This record gives sequence, C-alpha cells and structure tokens, in this order.
Amino acid sequence: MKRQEKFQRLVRPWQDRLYAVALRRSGNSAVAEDRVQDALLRAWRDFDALADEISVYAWLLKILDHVSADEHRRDQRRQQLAPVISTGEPLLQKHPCAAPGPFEQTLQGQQHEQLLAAVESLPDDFAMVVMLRDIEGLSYRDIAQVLEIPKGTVMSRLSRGRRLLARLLLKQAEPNQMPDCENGALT
Amino acid sequence: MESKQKLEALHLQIQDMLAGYVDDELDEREACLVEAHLAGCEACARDVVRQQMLHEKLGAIPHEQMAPAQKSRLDNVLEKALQKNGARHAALAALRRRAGHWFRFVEDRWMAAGGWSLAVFLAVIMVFNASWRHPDGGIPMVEDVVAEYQHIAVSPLPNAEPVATAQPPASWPRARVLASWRTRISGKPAQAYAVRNDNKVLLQVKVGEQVFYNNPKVRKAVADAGRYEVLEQGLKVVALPLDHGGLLLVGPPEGMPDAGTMSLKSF
Repeated sequence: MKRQEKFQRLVRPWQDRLYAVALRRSGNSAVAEDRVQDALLRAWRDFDALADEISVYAWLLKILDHVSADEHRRDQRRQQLAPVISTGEPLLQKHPCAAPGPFEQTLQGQQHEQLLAAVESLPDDFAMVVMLRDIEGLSYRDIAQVLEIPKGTVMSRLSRGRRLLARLLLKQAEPNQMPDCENGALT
Repeated sequence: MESKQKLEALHLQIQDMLAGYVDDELDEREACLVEAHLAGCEACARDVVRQQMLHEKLGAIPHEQMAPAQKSRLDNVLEKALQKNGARHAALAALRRRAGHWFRFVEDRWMAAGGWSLAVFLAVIMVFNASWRHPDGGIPMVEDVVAEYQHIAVSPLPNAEPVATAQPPASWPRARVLASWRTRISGKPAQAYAVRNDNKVLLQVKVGEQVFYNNPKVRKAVADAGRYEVLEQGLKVVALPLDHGGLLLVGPPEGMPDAGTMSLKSF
C-alpha cells in the first residue's frame, strides 16, 4: 500500500480526537486547529517511524504533546507546584460529600464543561495523565510512551491527580452544598 | 512504634497504587496487597470508590469535533504536504532500489558464498523467532477476554443481572443465555454474557469503541474483512464491530456458532 494511502487510513480518522484534546488543552479553537495541523504534518514527516509497539492514537498524542511543549505557556504551567494529598486529607475525611454516595451526587451535578475545567486546572503533570487515561481511554503503557515516563509514575500521578480532582470538586461544591450533604443524611 | 511507622509508610505507598487497582493495572501480588490494605483502611477504600466514579464520569464526556471549515483548511494543508513529500519519498525509494541493485551486483561477484550463508542463517532465525512470538502481539482486550473465559470455566458463573432480560449482541438459533455481568476489559467497563451453544459455553463481551479499535491489527482486519479472528491459548476469539463498539466472542474453536446462522444486534 502506498505511503499516502496508509497515512490517510491510519492517521486521518484520529484528527477529530486530536482536535478535541488540543482544544481542551488550549481552550482556543484556533490554537487547537494550528496544533493539530502541526501535529499531523509532523506525523506525516515521521510516518516511517511509527512502530508496532505503540497504538496510532498514542503516537499521535505524543506528537501533539511535543507540539504543545514547544509553546511557552506549557513551560510556565510545568513550573506549577504539584501538591500531594493523602487519602486522609481533612477535607476528604470530614466533608460529608466525600463519602461514596454523596460524592456520586456531587459528581452527577457537574456539567461536562465544569469537569473539564477542573481537570485543566490541575497541575500539568496530573492533568495530562487524568486526561489521557480517563477521557481518552489510553492504557498505562500507552500513556507511559506518550509522556515518556515509567508506568509506575503514570499510576502514582493518576492516583494523586484523581484525588486532587475530587478535592477540587468538593471545594467547589462547598459554597452551595447540597441539602443532603449538609444534614449528612446520605453519609 | 517501629511497626506503626512501617504501616504508615505502607499506607503512603499504597495510595500511589490505588489508580492501578481501579484500572486493573496491578499484577496479582500488588492487587492482593492493596486489597488487604483496603480491608482495614476506610480512607483508601473511599478513595477507590471516588476514583472509580471519576473515571466513569470523565469517560462519558463527549469529544469535540472540528468545524467543517477547519476540516477543509486542514485537508488542503495536508493534501499539499502529502503530494509534495510523497513525490520526494518515491524518488528516495527509487534511489534505494537502484542502490540495492548495485549492492546485489557487488554481492554476486564478491560475496556470493558468504552472503548466501548469512541469508540462510538469518532466515532460520526469523522463522524460529516468528514461531516463538505471540500470535497476535499481545492485544490487551484479547488477553483480557481469554482470561475472563478461563475464569468462568473453573468458577461459578456470576449472575449479576437477570438472565431473562439479558440480550447479548450475538444470537443464533440454539443460543441460551446462562449469565450476564459487568466486567472490565482493557481497563474499561464491558458487559459479559455466558451463552450456551449445544454442549459448549461461549463468552460474549461487548466493549466500547476505544477498546475495540485500539489495536491496528484489529482495525485493519475489521476494515478488510469485517472481523478479526485469533487463536489464543486454544480458544478462538472473534472480534466483530457493533454500531457503538464491538463484540468479542470467545470459546473453543469447535463450539463457535456457524457465521451464517448468527445475527448481531445493533446498539
């Protein structure tokens, strides 16, 4: 099969998914379009380097990540302090909505846009693994290849990232707590 | 005092493994360690539940699509790049072919004997290497459904959902649903059905698109032939596309239903 045909068949179907990722990361459709264009041009340039060990989508995400990394904004975000919180964190322990049932209700009350904004507000290292795993559905092995980190690091960042996200959502819910959480009826 | 410190260190270490536990990415020993800890640690147990909920909720977020104008612009840029670079690539390929002819000419004259010996040696290595390799290159969803089948083959069937209302994706005249339950394939939720076909039990697992189309071999086989088939540990695995995801049918090769009698439900 000709190189062009192979590229069209394997790579082009992912362009919308790449755009969705780029849009989530940048929050701007024009920037996202530029990044996808850059990523697909690089993918075409390096198409012969696509190896069997990595899925096409993970390979494209890796390229998109490199494209984004070239931008100054990302460098600034990388310097954000990455807090580590324990499962014993007071908010997670004391907040009635942190219990499984009420937390589910808190979560159900969130719009998709609110959730995406919450993920995006995490420190970059955590936001990336949460997005690649929970939104994009990549395996730990693929995430490790995209971000060029060990699989164990993927797991620890994901554990901490989800915990930070849960705390963030609970904090956001605090000003207008649900009645069931206030009186502890569901705890 | 020392043992308390050790327990606290273990508690901290396990917190970094909880995502792996939620996503089925731990090996058996690690999973046992986490489960033992969860039995006595309410904080971590709650964290596991919250992580599961977050994973489900985030996985349901739809993906934004490019606007038609954006797609059109991207098509134009890529079309040009593909044509330009394609011509250069073809020229390079021709150059490589010519270099290959020259190399073979030299090889014929000066290195025929040694070259052939080396070629035979490499061919033998490649043949043996190919036969040792895993037949499907270790596709996670295939490995997972085979493990699920092997598990139900030696354990009581899970009956998490009423059999009477269970509607597996594939049906054929003699199919009888024995059990239906939720499981996880490649770390994502999936619906499993144990179905009897005469005296054989088959497993049907309905998976989402992300899992089904993740592997290039599966994508190519589905695009070319409408299905992907593989023999794995003596079991046949057939992957069939559905409207929203795919079906993995697992069982002994001789117990598989006749393709002509099988119908697929669209979901």
